[in-house]
Amino acid sequence: MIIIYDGLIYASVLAVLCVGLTLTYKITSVPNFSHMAFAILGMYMALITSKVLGLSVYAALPLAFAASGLVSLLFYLAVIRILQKKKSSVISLIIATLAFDIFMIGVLNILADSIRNGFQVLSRDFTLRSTDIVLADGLPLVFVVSIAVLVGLALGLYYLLYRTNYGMRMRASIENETLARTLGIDTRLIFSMSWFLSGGLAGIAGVLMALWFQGDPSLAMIMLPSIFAGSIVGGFTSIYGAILGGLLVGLSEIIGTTALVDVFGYWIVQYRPIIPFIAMIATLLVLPGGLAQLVTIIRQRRLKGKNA
Amino acid sequence: MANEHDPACNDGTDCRDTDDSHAQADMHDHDNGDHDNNNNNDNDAVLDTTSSRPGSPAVYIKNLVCGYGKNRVLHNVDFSANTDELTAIVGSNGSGKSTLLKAIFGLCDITSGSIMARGKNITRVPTHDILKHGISYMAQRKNVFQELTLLENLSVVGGRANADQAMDHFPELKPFLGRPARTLSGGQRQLLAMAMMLINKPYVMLFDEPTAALSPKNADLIIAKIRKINEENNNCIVLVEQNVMQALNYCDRVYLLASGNVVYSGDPQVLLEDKDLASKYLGL
Amino acid sequence: MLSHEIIFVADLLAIFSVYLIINLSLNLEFGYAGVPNFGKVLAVATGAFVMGVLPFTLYGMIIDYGGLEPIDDNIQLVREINDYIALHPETAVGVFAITLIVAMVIGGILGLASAYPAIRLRGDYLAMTLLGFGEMIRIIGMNYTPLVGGTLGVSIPDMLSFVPNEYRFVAASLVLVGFAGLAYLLVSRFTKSPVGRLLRSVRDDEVTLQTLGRDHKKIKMKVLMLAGALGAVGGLLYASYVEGVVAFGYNRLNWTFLPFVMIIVGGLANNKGVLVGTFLFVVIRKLVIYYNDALDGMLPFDIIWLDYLALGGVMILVLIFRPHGIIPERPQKTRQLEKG
Ligand SMILES: Nc1ncnc2c1ncn2[C@@H]1O[C@H](COP(=O)(O)OP(=O)(O)O)[C@@H](O)[C@H]1O
Ligand SMILES: [Mg+2]
Repeated sequence: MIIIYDGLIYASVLAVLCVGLTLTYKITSVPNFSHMAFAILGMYMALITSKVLGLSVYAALPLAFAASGLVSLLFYLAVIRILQKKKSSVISLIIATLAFDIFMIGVLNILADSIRNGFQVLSRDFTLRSTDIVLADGLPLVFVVSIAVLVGLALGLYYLLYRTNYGMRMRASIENETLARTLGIDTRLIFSMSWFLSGGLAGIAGVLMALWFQGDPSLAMIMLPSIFAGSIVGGFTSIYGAILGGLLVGLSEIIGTTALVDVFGYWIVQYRPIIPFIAMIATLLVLPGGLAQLVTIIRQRRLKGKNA
Repeated sequence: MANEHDPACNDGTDCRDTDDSHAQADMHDHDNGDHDNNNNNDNDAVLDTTSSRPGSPAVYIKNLVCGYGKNRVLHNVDFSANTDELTAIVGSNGSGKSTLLKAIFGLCDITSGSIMARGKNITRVPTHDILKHGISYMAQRKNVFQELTLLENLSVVGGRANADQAMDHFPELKPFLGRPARTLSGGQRQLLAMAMMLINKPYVMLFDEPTAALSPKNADLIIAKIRKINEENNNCIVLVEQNVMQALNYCDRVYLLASGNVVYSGDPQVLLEDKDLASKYLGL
Repeated sequence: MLSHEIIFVADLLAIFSVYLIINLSLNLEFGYAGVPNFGKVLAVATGAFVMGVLPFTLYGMIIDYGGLEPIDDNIQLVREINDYIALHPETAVGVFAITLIVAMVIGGILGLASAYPAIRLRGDYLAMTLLGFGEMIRIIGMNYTPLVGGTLGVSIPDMLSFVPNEYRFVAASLVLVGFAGLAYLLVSRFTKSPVGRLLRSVRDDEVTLQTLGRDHKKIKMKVLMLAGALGAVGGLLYASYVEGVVAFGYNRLNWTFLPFVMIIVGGLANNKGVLVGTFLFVVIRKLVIYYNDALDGMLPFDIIWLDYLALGGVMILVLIFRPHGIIPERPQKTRQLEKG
């Protein structure tokens, strides 16, 4: 049972993170190497809510969403927008996000140290699993919530993008920013929104992580290749690709490692991060457009079939 | 002269154009010296009544220097287009025709100069607010959202109700409303882009080569539509056209650009009769 | 005993030399070949790991270890080898030379491996892939105990054991300075050559990159090989200088991010800029560490994290306000010729 919890919670969290990464990449063309920092911030919001304020961890969900969203928005407005105005290259933008990641790792570790020293709370390699509510049959609430968040995200984004005027403008701005602007759409607002949303979602992912796994600032570095892998497998262009890619990479990390342990022994667990890396390389070599490209190919085949 | 205060002129590089000033002076003679814009000051321009039809400048550009990054494309361009009129911009490839339209929408970097629309200075207005000043723009390429349906393309601009209204002018498009724009033919796509322009009932409409890459039949259809819009709405239309001969026949006024300078502006018939200019810049 | 000042300067020069070599190599990759190697740590760690393994193997052929194991009986074995080196300096030179060559070869191969994606992937995907490469080697190094002792790390023999105690520290520092000088000459010569200029001319041009002819590709591969080998030398020298390898220390901050900060602040595609940027940051960091003790205990957190804030912050400010560094890249001679 535990492997199912492990696998699905991790995969859902990863999928939420991939959606956020894909969102800002697709909308503002920035591969955000500091995306994990927003998740770790959410993790510490969970720790503060639960151990310092004494509230339910779930109260941290809106708090983490707001906090991570705001930090992400600020980073976009204060750094990324300025660099983009100066027509910096994509590599310069990446370096800026890496720099922000390093900066945030400093901030988060200071936060961790301060929590420990100020409130005598374990703030590294901590887990809030014991504070979670257990439903019938030992089913942890976080399991249900993780999946609910992912499903809600998928439906919510579908509704936002395809059923609202705002979403329509978002899609328009993604496809052709210049045209959108000449037609009166304030794309700055839409781009800012995407960073807020992306950061906020990462914050929520962080809270969920803390409820099941061990939370630590070092996760920022460890998990980054996994969310790149998930997003690339998904194609880095569509929200649904990101969800599928995240789930796929997340599940193969957990289940793949467990399977390998059965064959090779426990030591192989240490090498788990190699799995997403392989997934990423394989995708880039075989199908650089990821699952999204696969869908397009299948669609075209079917069209051809019909025509023939 | 305004030029003395133009920062771009101080380094001496951007104010060459002496050859072109000659050209303009020459044209002055052809025009009987009564209205050439390049030599007018602001007041005259506002009171300009010499065109074939009555009109006042809906767009008025003075001493515009602009380009992309450090690369200057337009050098001290003066331009005006009147209400009621169809103004054509012609010139060889790369002469800066598209850049002139882009400048109005803030899509290139403006070094100096001013752009006025119906008396308001819009030089530094952000791109997404230009529409509010009653101006709409159709880009040379990529002028519809490929992945959005036709209806969505129209709704993006002004909501559903306006979309339906705009469709009245384009019955050709009605059967395809639910399809993504990428499934349209080239001509249909241009029609859609035009429909999108019309939604906000613009006072000024800028078209950048709307007939490029269309079959002659489709091109004629598009031009006919544009002329009809002009007749019905009495608005100001600025049209960049490849097909010079045709454009000169139906426009009320023409600007001829060469390497980022206006080398002629005024009556299209006069330009046609000027063998020097016509052969030098238009290959006629 | 050596005075404090001498130790301070010698240490400064040694660290400066290590970073100079690594930064020259990164500048070759990023500044000249346009390959954003966010996995720089890969080559550096490779050099260090070779230094952590090979000398034990080689000395095992010369001396009888008497059943002692490099990892398990690490300290004892290192002491025995050091004693042997003190009596037979010539073996140290030989072992060091072989280790160096092996490290360079492996570094070069890894550089060649990174050329595969570098030629095929566009900038952002390449950056992610190379970052992933770097993480992989760290994970393997940290977990594969037989390599360099896993998380605990290993001590390694001091190849300068034959130098009298009081001079050894300065000697080590001088050896490193010598290597750095050599690397600087080598790289300068390369970048001034027609091949170096050609590289720079195709660097920023995505279109050209896509259509790179076979010759260009070959040049790019060679540059990445050279840079990989050079990066490994940097890591090897660092490991031999600190006389140990702890895989944990080969992280992204110190061996990827910091080099990027140094070369961007100094000025890309400009070896003098690299020299200045490297010197600036090594001095600042050294001073910060020197005065750390004064601050320690006054703050409610570990002082090391201020380092992160400062480096991240400085990098962002430089990107915004001084994107071309202190010494900007000079316009290319070839272009001037065209205009003239
Ligand atoms: N986005 C751009 N960036 C840089 N230069 C451009 C850009 N667009 C056009 N140019 C340059 O500006 C000049 C004028 O282009 P344009 O206005 O498109 O000419 P036209 O529409 O008359 O063919 C050309 O030399 C062209 O190379
Ligand atoms: Mg054009």
